Amino acid sequence: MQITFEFWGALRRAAGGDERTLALPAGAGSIGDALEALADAIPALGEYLETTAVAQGDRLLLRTEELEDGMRLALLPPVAGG
Amino acid sequence: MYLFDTPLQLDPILGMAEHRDCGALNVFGGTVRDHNEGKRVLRLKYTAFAPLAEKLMREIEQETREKFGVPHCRVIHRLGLLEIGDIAIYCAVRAPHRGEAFAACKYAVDAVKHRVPIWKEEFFEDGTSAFNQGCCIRPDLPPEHDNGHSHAHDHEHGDHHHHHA
Repeated sequence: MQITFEFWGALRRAAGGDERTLALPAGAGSIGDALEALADAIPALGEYLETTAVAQGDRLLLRTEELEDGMRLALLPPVAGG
Repeated sequence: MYLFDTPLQLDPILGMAEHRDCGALNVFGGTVRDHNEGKRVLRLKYTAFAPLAEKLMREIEQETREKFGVPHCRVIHRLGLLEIGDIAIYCAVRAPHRGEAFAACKYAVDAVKHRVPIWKEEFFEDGTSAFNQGCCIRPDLPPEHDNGHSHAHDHEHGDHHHHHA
């Protein structure tokens, strides 16, 4: 299955781009599994992922939620508006 | 509207045409400062993940109205490149009395800083730039990484000295 990760805030600099699509094995499992695959593909992101939130549209996802093919996941590092 | 690529307009969020029962209008404006953590700042860039940011700002307004019993709370945030002195955030609260107006305004601004996916990149005099250390919004962050950082806290939060080491 294909999962696209969008990088926000400081993650863009660490990832060297705005987004990345990975082909994961069918039945890859959870959001947490997808993040592990991403950290393997882009090791520079590894140190950031623990404090990174994952959103799909206007909803924050838990690491335990199931992946679906074609998902677009926004990766949100610690926030600092205002 | 919650997020703007153009200079923020205060009048539309004041709610002055309504709320004849209110004796207080409290406004907070956050402006771009020329320094942070000992470095001279030339300008800022704000970015936001809009779908979630707008939903959370709407929820924060609603939550603030309910928590403080105030009839009006609006908060808006600027995005893009800002110069020193530009307005980054406005919050406006109307309330029957000033006590709850001050408290509600502070609560709403703190909540936006702590919970809404907005990022601040500072551009320094020496040509470098950096993202401000911020607040983790992961809902299932394991406790050992939370570092005692409660989002119910009440401290002054200007420089975001948070370390989620």
